[in-house]
Amino acid sequence: MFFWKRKKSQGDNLKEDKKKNELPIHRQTTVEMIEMLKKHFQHSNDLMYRHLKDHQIVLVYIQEITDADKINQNVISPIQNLDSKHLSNEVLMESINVGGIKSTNDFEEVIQSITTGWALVYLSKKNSGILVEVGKLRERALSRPENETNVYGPQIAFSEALSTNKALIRENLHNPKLCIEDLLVGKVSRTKVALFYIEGISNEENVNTMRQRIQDLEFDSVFDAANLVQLIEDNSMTIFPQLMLTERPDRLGHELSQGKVGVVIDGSSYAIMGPTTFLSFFQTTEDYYVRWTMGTFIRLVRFLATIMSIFFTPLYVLAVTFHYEIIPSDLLVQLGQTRSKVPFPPILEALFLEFTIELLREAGARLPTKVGQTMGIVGGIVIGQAAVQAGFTSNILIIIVAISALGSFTAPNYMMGNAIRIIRFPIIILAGLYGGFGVGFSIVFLSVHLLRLSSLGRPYFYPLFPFRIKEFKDTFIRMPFPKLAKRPDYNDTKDEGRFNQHRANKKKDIDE
Amino acid sequence: MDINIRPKPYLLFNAFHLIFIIFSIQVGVGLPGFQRIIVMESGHDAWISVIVAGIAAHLVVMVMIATLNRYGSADLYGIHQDIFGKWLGSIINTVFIAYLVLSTTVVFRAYIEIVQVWLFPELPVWSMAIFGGLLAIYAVLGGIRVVVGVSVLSVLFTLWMIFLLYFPIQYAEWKSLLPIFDTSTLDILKGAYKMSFTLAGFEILYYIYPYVKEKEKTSLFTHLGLLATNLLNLIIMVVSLVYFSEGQLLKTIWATLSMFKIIQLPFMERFEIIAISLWMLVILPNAILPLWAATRGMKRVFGFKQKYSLHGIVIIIFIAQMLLKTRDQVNMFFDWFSNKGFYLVFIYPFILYVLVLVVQKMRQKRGLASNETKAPSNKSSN
Amino acid sequence: MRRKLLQTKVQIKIIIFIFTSFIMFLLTGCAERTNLEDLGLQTAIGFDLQNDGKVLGTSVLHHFKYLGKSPSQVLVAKADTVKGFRQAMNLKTSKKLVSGQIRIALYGEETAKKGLIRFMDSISRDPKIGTMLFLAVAKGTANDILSYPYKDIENIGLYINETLEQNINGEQIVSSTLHEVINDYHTDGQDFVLPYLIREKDKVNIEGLAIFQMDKMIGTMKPREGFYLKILRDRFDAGELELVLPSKELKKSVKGIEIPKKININIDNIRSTSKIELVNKEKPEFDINIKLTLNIQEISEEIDLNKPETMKILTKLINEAFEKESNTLIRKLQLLQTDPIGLGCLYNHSIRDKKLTSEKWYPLYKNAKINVHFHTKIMGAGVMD
Repeated sequence: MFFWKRKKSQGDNLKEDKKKNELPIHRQTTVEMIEMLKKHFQHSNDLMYRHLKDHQIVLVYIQEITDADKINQNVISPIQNLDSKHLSNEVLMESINVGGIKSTNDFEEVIQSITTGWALVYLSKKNSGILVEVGKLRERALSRPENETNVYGPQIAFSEALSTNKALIRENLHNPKLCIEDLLVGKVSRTKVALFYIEGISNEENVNTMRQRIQDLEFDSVFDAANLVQLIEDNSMTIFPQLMLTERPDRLGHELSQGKVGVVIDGSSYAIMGPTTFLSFFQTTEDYYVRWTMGTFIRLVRFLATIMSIFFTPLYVLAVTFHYEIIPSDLLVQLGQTRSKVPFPPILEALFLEFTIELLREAGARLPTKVGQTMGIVGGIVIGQAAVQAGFTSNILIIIVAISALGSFTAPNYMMGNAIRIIRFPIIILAGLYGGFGVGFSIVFLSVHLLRLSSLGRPYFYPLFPFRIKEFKDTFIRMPFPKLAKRPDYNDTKDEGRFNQHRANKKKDIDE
Repeated sequence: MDINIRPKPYLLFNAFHLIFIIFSIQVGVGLPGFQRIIVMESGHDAWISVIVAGIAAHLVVMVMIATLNRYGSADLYGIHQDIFGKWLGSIINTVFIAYLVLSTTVVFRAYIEIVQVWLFPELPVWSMAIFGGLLAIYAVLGGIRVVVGVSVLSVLFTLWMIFLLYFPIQYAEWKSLLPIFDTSTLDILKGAYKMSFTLAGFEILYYIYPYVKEKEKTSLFTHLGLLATNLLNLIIMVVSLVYFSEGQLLKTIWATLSMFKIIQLPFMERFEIIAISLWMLVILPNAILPLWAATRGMKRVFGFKQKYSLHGIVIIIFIAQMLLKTRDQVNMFFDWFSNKGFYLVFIYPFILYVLVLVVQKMRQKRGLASNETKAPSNKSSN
Repeated sequence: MRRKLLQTKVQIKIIIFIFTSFIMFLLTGCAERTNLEDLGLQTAIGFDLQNDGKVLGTSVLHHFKYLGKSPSQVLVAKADTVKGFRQAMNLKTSKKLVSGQIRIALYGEETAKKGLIRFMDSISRDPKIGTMLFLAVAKGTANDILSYPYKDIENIGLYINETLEQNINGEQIVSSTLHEVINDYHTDGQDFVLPYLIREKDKVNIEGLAIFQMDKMIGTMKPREGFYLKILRDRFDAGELELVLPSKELKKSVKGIEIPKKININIDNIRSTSKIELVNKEKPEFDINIKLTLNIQEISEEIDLNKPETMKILTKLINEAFEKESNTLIRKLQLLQTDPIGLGCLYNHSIRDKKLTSEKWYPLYKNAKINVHFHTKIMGAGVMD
């Protein structure tokens, strides 16, 4: 639903803006330069300028986002030490003690740079100015991952600063083939976005699609990866996420090395990866850190938990509402006794309880951690007990709902966990209206829906369709590494082999 | 209309998906209750009928693939056009489109019948028909890839039900199969003829053939799919024969579902209710593959956009289902359909093959004769 | 851009699609709801044919109550047809009567003697009713057993179900689920037996087995005979039995001064496989070979079991005892003209081109020669030597 692209008038405005800005810096005096900049910055108060060397040089920067010490020591004082008579751009560039320095005559670039913490050093009546990087990095210390916690593996998460995140990825992949492309997104917010891929592994088509989608964006402001991801997804009319978000640099590094494309956006502690399959939302890097038996087991548990989470409550509803035949006689008495006091039909009972669980979860997520925990316990136990005793719900349903809530939390990806929780509701309703027929319908509908989705134009329900039994060894289960010699077929990588399988699997005789 | 069609590369699917397609389209509404019809003819030798019918199906598929191989990448519509010319070809194509539409109708109506008898006697036909219609539209709108994907998922998600046969096997009375070949050959053949409704469906190959990526492997995977269905039919038939006595089987309309009735797990009993609910996934490929082929036909023959003809056809199917009200009407319609279907599915491919051979031979001769004067005119058929 | 626009169009269509589906859900209403707590779940039904040709139906219901016991309710009604009384019963209860949880169908003895097929047919025709429910015959009337107010039994339907299940699993009686009974009924040359229940004051006991010819009850069988029937019919797993053996041949091995005439022995862990062969097709003659393994659990006299000779004699004696009792049973069945072992079925499947019906089979069966041979193997004699 790329609705932001259809508003042609907005796009036209932008083009006009560009034309206006495309004035090169052309032999102006320093005063003229300042006037021009002031005009562009709407006479903003925080735009600072300082004349040096008898108005021959002007230094322009925004005070709040620049480092005063850096400006004083590395820019102003070297310039002041220069001989006033032999000033030239070359001399200036040599004398300024800052690593990030470039010369430009593009006024658009000058403005863009000043907003991101660079300073302009302009020598009057020259064709170009010098941009000096004096930005103040406002960032917090690197922290542990909050949402994708692992027992094993590096305990570090992305932070909000793009440069830090770039560094983190570089630290994971010391490979000259790692390509980083800088892009700009958002007409108003002008957010910096970096595109990552490994040349020689990643499929060019994927890289191009991702780049194209980001470049084509005409949305006004993008602040976070979660924001961006919704704008570049294949289909926004579904509740399933089609691109993966991660806060773990090691995860991104792993996926990049498997041929995926990554996107990191300035100001967000999440990275985007694609293309992604539905099943990969149930995998974590930890599956590779623990032994393969454990990894396989955890994965199977997750799939089972997901299926249970989706179908447990509907199954209860359909059994109690329509198909009492399927309940074994021992269970029947229990169920009948607990149901006998409940005044509502099972569907309302189930919806009410599911809704309560959602309330608890949402309230717990918004409150501070300590309060949140207490809330969970109080809510869970007190409300649950009270509801049963008041005869609002049957206690068997409470167990079922609690298990399905737990099951939805086992999905390692937050977005996917949300999706699973939401799709439960329509299925419960269908189960309450049409029993087994309704649940069957919802299973079929979900299957067709998942088949219709795609991620960066690649099939989303891979490897079930297109059916690739070979890929099962790293989707449903996790085989030991010697068996995982190929990169996933899905990424359509240029270089398929991870290592030489032949050499790895060479069979030795006994006692050799 | 071009005789050969060359779909865009991203629409092609790998040849091994044919296993799923053939298997999923053959397994459908026939399977829950085919035992009774066969046993009526060939008694406890019904399993031989199943094998005979299976071999016949393999033969038909061989001829179908031979026909398709004579063209490069054609479907049945194109072949008809080539053999019969524009007018006659269009008429025959229309007949086949009608057959496809009817088969979708039969599938949906048969499933609704099962749901009404086993789950919800009072749920009206039209409400279930709407559900089915919406699903069919949603799936076919996704195009050939989704249609093929549904057949793959249908197989993957329901194949585990085979293991449920473990429960009836525990009650098996193996001597009921004896003595082998007790029934006359004629009765066995009659039983095999009655299998045609259960086996039909593989004719979809005529329509999806152009979309197969590795055409040289078509034969292998189609036969594998067919073999899988035949094995499944055989297993179910044998298990039914040993689980039920003959007299009981003759009275049981949906023997496969009746077998599920005995399953008792600690947390669930009466598995047929779950099986019927999930059966929607089994029948969906049966419905949407012909539906897709029919919309292709509307496009190829009449030039209608698939999107539009799809909606039209689904509405027709919906109305047709409403017209079949009582069980008698449904049964009569199914009998009529399976009788006619036998000729279209099992006999017609042989006729078509002979026709293609004759026409191509004639063209070759004519082509040779006129070779010196003008370029060969049968360009399209190569 | 154009592709995207097209996509947008398609997506709008999907919204419309979802919207229409939603409307449809509301419009189509829904299937008839049968909430569990509003149902009167029948757990047992009993049938008694009255003299005036009407059917007296008795059904035991679950009544769900929140705390404490869920009492059962018994409804009785008369009707002309088998299913007819459900309507009459519905008038007598606050719950909707449903048949999906019936675990046992009980028939009065008189009813059984007149023929059961009418009742079984109507039950098996109903898709709501499972095929794993047990059929049984009640001594007296079914109504008597089901409607008696038992003190200790919460729900008589479930109670009988558990009793039968336990005994079938323990290999005490032949299984009599609806499916098996109907299956046997429809098999030519095979008759079924049903458990024969009796009420003794506050208890319901399995008195034995009711023997049927076609669908008519013609006699009863003791549990011990049921055991032999089970061994003759098919494989047998883990049961126990008490045998009385003559002591004459065992004299040498018995320790002690006074030797009684009979020795009682208790055997358990009996496993058997039976193989029935048709030896003569013209004049039906069958060989039944039964391989038997067992453990000796208890012997009334002290016998030195270490001697191989003793074991040999013991084995022989056990064989003979088994054969004797089996022959008695078979003779009884032959005289009654009923074939629960299924010899006719075997005969039918061994000959070609002759459609054997039960009517033709019974005279043949009556005069058939049936030889039973037991091949016992004593596996052990408990943990003590």
